[in-house]
Amino acid sequence: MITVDIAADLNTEDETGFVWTFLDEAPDPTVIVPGALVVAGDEDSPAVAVVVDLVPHPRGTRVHLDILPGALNSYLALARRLQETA
Amino acid sequence: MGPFVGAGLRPRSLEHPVSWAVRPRPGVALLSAAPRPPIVSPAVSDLPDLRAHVRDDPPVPRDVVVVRGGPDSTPKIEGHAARTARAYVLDGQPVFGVSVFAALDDIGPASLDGLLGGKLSTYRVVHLVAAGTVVDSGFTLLPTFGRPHMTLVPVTPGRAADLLAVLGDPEPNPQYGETRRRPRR
Repeated sequence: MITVDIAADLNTEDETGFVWTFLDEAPDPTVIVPGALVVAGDEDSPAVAVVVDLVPHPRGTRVHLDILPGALNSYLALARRLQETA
Repeated sequence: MGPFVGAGLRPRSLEHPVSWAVRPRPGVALLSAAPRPPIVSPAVSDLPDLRAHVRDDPPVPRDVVVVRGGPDSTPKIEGHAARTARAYVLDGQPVFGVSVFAALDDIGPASLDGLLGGKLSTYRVVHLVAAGTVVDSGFTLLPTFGRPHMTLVPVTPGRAADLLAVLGDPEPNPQYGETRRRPRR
């Protein structure tokens, strides 16, 4: 089972064109920093994303995510190949 | 586009356009000389209003395909709608809504192919439904933010199961895993 770094509805977008969610939806908010590669979404539909920015909001901190293309398994396979050759 | 079941919904006409009937609330205190404060919940009035991000689009034709990455469930829909309500109001009131995309074009990023292989390519399965079916079920499609994004309202906690029924069973996304970039502004 995949545990995401931050829960999000990857269907969303706002005026920035990026997917958004709230920082407190991350089990470990310390990994959610601008530029970080994270897994976003939910256990059924996870995706690799880059954290774009963290923006103050009246109800918390809003996080913008740039969803990277490709299936999560493709990234896992890439990581395995790199690990084998390291 | 191969075995994609929802593709049959794609042809569309303008005969029965879908109207998004949510309108700004009328002014208050029309019969009183003394000005009254607007009817806005103080608990949510500091939130951004989604109305500012509603596009001036023509009505969505009834047979345009509405797409949402899935699979969805009632708890998921409730959670996503609650997140929207946490972030926005609509005309000063809490807005429980979920994001969908409408396949408005025949080609390009706002087409069904463009959505499935672009913005929704990380979804293994998607829900597909005709816009007319959505509206006939009592929901409204608000064209929000960048085209062809829509916010489907109202998805109050008691209506999540209704929406799930409207969305129907998820279908495989034939373009899952495409490595084209999601177009961004």
